[in-house]
Amino acid sequence: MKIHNKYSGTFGGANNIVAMMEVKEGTIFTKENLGRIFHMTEGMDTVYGVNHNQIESIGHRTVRHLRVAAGGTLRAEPVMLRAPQTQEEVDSIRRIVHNAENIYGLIVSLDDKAALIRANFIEGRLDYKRIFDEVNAKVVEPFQDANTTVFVAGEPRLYGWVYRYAGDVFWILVVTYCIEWVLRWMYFHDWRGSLRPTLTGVIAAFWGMGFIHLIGLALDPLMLVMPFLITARAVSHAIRCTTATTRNSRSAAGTSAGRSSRRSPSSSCRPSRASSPTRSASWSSSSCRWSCCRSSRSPPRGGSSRSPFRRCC
Amino acid sequence: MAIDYEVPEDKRALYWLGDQLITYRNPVMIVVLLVTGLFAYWTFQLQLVTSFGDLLPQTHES
Repeated sequence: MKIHNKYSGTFGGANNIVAMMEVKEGTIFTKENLGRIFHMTEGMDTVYGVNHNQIESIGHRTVRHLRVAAGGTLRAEPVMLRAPQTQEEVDSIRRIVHNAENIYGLIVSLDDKAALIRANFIEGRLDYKRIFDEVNAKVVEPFQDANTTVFVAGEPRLYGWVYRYAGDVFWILVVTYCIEWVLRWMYFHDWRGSLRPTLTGVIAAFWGMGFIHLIGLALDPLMLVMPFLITARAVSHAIRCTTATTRNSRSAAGTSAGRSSRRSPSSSCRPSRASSPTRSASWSSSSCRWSCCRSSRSPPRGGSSRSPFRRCC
Repeated sequence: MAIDYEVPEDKRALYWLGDQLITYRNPVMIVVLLVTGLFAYWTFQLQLVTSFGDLLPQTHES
């Protein structure tokens, strides 16, 4: 870590984005395509948080080729100083690329159909959502057409995708909960049995995420799965508790009453206005904890009126 | 409040807690709702942030 922190400013850190422009027909060595690469590089250079000295592209000043000048001196000149204006400039750039071992096969593909633009981002200035949007606006969208495709990869890009779909994750959660309600209704045939697991899940999520904020942490997008996991466990426990209560209610109510109480534990414990005598019978002997505690007229078997918790369990 | 029924000795505290929760269910529910409301407020204050520096042990020697 010390080495990384010491040298990342000079040699680059871990936050790299690589964009590749690929043509389907022909090569990149045309005026239009080299112009695209040059302007894509310029666009990448203006993305927020980019390290301007660590961009690598044949359209950037940092990628140079060696040229022997008069007097036997060596000069390192950029491959492209501007977007090529004539066919002679295009030919010159192709000749330079094909003769430079630090470019050909590394930044430009061996079949001349693709070129890379690598960029490093400063760790303290990482704003993944903004970087994602700006790369799309300045590097990807303006330069794609039927013959040209732009691919982008890298860790900041990956986080950008996560941020982009964070809103969709919320709607997936809402739809999942609605489907769960329907499934629980089909299982319990009672709105209370369906709603209790949801309430416990929501309360668990509020407490968990509220506590994260309370201790001063932020929610990492890659940790989004954790609240889902905890909520799923809470819902699972609530369903298990409700199922156990249902089973106790049926066994306590006996065969005939149990048939009438099959609808739900709650309906057997507290009869509705339209309840039948058999359901009332099941209510009086029910072991449903909460309803018994609130509304039993005579203490069920095995407990006193002062200890509803004991007698219900 | 003393427990006036048979309970396993090792679960006496648990039964006592259960009794208390049932006996004082309304105050308990109000407290839980208040705390839940507070945590719900904090939940909506939670930021979705990725700090690369926080993922790595910055002071680790190796």
